[in-house]
Amino acid sequence: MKRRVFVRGRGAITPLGETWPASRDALAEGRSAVGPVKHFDVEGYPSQVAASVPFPLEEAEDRRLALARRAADEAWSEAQQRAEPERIGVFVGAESGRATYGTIFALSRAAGGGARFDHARFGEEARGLATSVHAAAVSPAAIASALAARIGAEGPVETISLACASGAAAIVSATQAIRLGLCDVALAGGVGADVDPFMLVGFGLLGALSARGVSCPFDVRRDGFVVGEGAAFVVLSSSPGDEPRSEIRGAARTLDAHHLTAPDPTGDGAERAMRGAIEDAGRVKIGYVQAHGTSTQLNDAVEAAAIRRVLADALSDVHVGAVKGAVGHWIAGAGAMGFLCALEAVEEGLCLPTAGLTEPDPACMLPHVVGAALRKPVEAALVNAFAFGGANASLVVSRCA
Amino acid sequence: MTHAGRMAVTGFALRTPLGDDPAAVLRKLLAGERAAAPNAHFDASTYACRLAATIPGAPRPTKHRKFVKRMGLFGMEVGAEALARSGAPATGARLGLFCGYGGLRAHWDDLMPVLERQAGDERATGAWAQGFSLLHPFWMLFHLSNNAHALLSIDVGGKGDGTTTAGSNAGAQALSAAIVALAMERVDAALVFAYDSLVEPETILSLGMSGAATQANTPAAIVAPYDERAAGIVPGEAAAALVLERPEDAGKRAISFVSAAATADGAVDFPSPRAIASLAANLSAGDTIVDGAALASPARDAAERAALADVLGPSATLLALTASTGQLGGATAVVQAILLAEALRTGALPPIAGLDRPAEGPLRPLLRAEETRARSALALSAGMPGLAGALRVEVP
Repeated sequence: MKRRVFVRGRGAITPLGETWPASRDALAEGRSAVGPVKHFDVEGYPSQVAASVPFPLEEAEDRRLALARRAADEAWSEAQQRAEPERIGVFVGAESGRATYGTIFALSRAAGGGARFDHARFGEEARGLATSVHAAAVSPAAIASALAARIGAEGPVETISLACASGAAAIVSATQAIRLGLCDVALAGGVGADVDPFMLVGFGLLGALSARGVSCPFDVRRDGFVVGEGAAFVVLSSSPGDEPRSEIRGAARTLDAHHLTAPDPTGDGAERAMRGAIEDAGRVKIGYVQAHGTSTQLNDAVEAAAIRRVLADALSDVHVGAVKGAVGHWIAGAGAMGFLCALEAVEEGLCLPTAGLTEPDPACMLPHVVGAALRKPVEAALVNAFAFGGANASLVVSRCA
Repeated sequence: MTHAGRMAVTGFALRTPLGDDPAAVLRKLLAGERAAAPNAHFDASTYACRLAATIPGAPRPTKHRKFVKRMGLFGMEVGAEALARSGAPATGARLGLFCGYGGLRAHWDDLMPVLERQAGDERATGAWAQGFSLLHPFWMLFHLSNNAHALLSIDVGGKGDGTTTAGSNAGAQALSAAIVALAMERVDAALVFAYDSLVEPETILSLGMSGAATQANTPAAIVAPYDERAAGIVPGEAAAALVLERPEDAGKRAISFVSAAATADGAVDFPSPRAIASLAANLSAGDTIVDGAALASPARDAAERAALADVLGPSATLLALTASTGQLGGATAVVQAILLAEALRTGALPPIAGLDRPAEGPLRPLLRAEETRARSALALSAGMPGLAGALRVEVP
């Protein structure tokens, strides 16, 4: 008999709101935060838009940590969990921190500033820059480590760097840890802070970003994703509390083993992740799907076809939303943000829409939520997160009876 | 904290600064050899830390060089080798892949030409025209954290559960995640591979300036961890892989058994001895041998010994494999799992290389190689920021 995993707290800071309720309200109205990048010069870039968090943040070693702290604090505060420190775990989807453009530029100048890295100069002239490349600033694990200290966790601490599936994969890990009894309470989620020159150029040159500057998952006009940033966390617990609202019923991860950047066109890996999560959940009625929905040509079509196959006849009772239309793609944080949207569906009956979707692609036909949010009772919701490299994570969350 | 159980090791492979054959590496460990040498990757004569332990040679030629840098390629090599040697029957969706890697590093060979003509102001004015447009379209793929994980899954056909875990204790995280997947029967075999190099310009800069790394001028001048004059780690690099299966599935193919755990405590530098010792307490089952975190700082070493003595007793034998191999970052735990099993099978424990004047304190730092009849040992690892890993190795 596996232990149940209840959702006890949630928090987010997004381009649309400083808290999850504020973000949710904006999402429900169908608003989008995608706009021109203004805080650095994007002239010539393949894509010149992003969804940035506009709110002031506390000073931190790097932007990932500043964002993660805000969302984790909100989730932890709502959860009001008490447990022995060694029974609290932390599971974070995060990529490596990057020094700012200014720091990298300064490092390059310390290395001579030419076309080749001059180690002799760097060894002497970069000494004053050492703290900017310390592990506390750039390690992918810095976020999880800092959050563990912040909430007093002394149990398992895990950092998952699984590209776009990281945040959802971290929630899968947290779910497994509670089920196995490795901890009783877990802070889980993800953070992305990739609105910077290097990431916009890197993804842009790869051809993954929208040249039109629009994030419109499943739309016939989609031409790539838009980089966003933010953090989303949940607090999970083996204890239901006095008034349990929702629980994670199913969790699964799979690998495509197909291609470094393109999804398997058959959708096999995505389909196995979804089926795995639904089978793990047992008897539940899926009423809402928070799709990965990146707004790229192949990914959206493959995901839509896989959702149709998995849900088959049950699709008539399902609605589908994709939050990247509103807040862009947070990479390591994306799956955790999607999870919060699914929670809203089961706890409040609020099915958040896909911003930017106005003309669904026939290849992506699904019962999309367009315009504003739809209200309906939802017993269970499915969340998808599919990554570069063919790593897939799916979760099923259900309303507590 | 409890751990997810004990799984059988049915295959392994490694690349270390002391070689890629575990038996041969063990012989060097027993002889007290150290891999530390003047940094072989770049001229570090002006850095605070000038010595390093590097893997000799290069990865085998492969088409994956277009997408994965040197250490990731080593990781893929050892992963494929370990799986081929294991005889694990699991394939496809029943085969999981769990990668541990230290973190992304800047690839300066690509970046320097791009930055050469930049203005460098905060707004990155004109950055595209002044160089960004020169970046190769595949540049981003080198910066995918899971690039080696993804390509190895293709090469070996692993389609089951899998993650890339990250940080300087990533190997322990990856082992733990794989054990969870096996315990929950998500997969029937788990290929765990980990790779990391601390021998990168920014890492050497940071370790040197923080005082964590040795500032010795010659290998002979390095003072070993647990010595009363210890003065910093030797940055190293490694790649290593294990195939794990449930003991009942592995049967006689089981070479050794492993359990693992990882945690973090938010410290800016190394984790507290308390965090390290709590992991040891979780995994310990009457063990009397421990491969320590070996941070080569008198204060940290003493605190670690005191904390471990509370768990293992004051007379437990203390090893320090990284005194020979160098500190291996995210690869440490997987290398420890292989080399400790080799030592236990052989019945010989390696000395702490270079240990001359062991500091006073509990535990018994090993000065000379000695025979053992023990069938199990603990291994600990620690890295920044505040990351700790532990495993328990047992041989049949």
